[in-house]
Amino acid sequence: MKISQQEKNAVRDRILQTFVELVRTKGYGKTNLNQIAKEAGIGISTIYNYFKSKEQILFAYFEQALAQAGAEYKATPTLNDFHLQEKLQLYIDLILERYEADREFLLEAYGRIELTPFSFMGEIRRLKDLFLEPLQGLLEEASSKGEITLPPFPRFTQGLLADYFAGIAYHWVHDTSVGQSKTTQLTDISLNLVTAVLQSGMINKALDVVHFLARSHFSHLVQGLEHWFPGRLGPEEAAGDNPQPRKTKQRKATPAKGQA
Amino acid sequence: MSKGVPQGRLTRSAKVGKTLLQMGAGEIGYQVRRAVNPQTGGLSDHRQLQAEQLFRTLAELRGTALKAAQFLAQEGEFLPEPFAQVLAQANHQVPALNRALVRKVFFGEFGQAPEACFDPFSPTPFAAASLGQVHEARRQGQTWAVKIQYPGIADTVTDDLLLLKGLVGRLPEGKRMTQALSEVQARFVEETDYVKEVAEMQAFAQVLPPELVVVPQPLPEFCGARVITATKLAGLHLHDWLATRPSQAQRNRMGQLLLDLWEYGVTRWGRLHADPNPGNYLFLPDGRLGLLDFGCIKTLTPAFSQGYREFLQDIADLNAEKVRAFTKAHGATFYDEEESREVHLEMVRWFALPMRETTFDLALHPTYVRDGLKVLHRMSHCFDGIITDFLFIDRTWLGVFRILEQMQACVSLRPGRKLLVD
Repeated sequence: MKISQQEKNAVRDRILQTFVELVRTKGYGKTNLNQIAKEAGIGISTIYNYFKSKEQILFAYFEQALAQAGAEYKATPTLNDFHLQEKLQLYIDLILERYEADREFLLEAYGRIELTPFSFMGEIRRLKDLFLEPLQGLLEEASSKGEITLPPFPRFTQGLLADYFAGIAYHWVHDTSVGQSKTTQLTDISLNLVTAVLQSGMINKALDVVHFLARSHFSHLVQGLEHWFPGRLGPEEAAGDNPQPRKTKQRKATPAKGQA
Repeated sequence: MSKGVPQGRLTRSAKVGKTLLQMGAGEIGYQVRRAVNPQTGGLSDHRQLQAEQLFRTLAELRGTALKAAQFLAQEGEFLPEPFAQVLAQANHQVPALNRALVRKVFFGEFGQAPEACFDPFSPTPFAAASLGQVHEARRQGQTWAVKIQYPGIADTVTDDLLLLKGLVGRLPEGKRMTQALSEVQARFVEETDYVKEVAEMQAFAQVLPPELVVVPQPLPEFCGARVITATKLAGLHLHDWLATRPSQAQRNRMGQLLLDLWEYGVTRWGRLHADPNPGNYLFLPDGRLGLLDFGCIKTLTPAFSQGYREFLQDIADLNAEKVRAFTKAHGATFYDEEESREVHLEMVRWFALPMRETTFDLALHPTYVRDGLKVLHRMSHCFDGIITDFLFIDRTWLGVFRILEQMQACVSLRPGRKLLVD
């Protein structure tokens, strides 16, 4: 019997909700696919049509929360009036609001991911991409509005934002203050710093220093190479006020074509 | 970009601990230098140094620590001079709530965005409020002032004051300052209690005659633990009102209302609007006084209130012994009976000045507030500790006279000349 996409989504949601509930009550380690199938009132083979392992269900939970928060973020009526910091803050709030009802589950889930983070590299990368999707072009837009100086590698900076969010989410999960207000304050204050760094163009300036040091270091390296391997780098690279090599093979100057 | 605010209790504790060490080292150094060389700089220089270290720490902690510093600065008359001077530099800035934070608070309180509750809702605040900010909004054809509290500020206040108490408790004047900070903490906690503030607002509206004093009307459906929505009063703040060059009669009337509010609160009702910040008053075009911000209300017992009425009469009669007896009956302990008697009499004379004249013209008494600060400061050194009821009453009296001074108003404490009392 063929079932509609709507029905498929409903089954998927039921699996996710049952999984969350079981992890919350029994713990991640004591939850398995059989229990999920039983609690959700579906066959084990049906579960395999959706997920191959409970790790997949775990990351599907995060994917769903991110997708829903992303859709809500894009649909915010006054979004265009928001500044960069406000947009980032809104987006983070929307994701954390999605997590709100499942704090105990998340505490368990984070504990599981912390144990062997490297075994989930692929999934984490996918979540990062999903997190960044609604923020595509955000830095470019803020730059065109004169809010920030566009950093040289916007994608890299956005990647840092994803890591930053992971830190905020971790703090939120462990935050015991009423309404997790300490995380709200931390987000507010730290985003203030993040946007101020972007506004100041500090990343560009820091990269200028790195470029300078790299160039300077590289030119010394080239000089050193010319010293030890004379002639290998060609006449252009060897030109300049290099120290005289100990063994110099004089290269015969050959006039270029057409030169008298 | 300024440096980040030290986050978390641990970091903030470390910051305070470092200052304590510096101050402790300073204290030891000072005592050693004094033992070796009795000519070593005066105690005042040493305290100035301590005060500077304290202020540097407060400046680094910022947030509520600075707000507390501001409170302490207001208690300047009760603190040693160098501390008061340095703390007076504290320029507190409440962290601003951006649109994302405002939305978050609204969703937390009412489950919807501010734009869904009001049409329109101004995203830019028109005023800073204690520990939050105020936005203008319209609903049902009415303009509202929506006061929003910074999320989690109550926790931060408690943490900061705990740290500050640890800091000042080790100082030579520590006991007095710790007591002041406990009172500051109590007021802070009250200020963050928006539910209580709405109740106070309604109580004031019921008691005060609306033809003289206007109190905003709250909109209960949009009042919560972190939001107060109340009618926005159309009036001018002191500075703007004075810029319109009101007549002497207008200034006298408004000044009289301010003074009557103090007297009514202390001697009749037992509830004092104890934050005499000029920003908490509005001067309405129809000659009424608008009263704002009910976060700092001092409640007095009926017995104290009744007693204070007689106490004021004793002050007016310059009956220093009866005044002293009342002060002692309410918890005052003097270090030195004889020495304090002289200062007490001086204070009574100062306090009585406006009461002994039929009308008291601030233009003719330009140093009244300044003299009061000096005498109250001297008086504070005669007491062992701080008596909070008197502290708030005196502070509000001084605050009111500061405003009267700016208004150059002529007021009276004689029966028959008052607008609100009798």
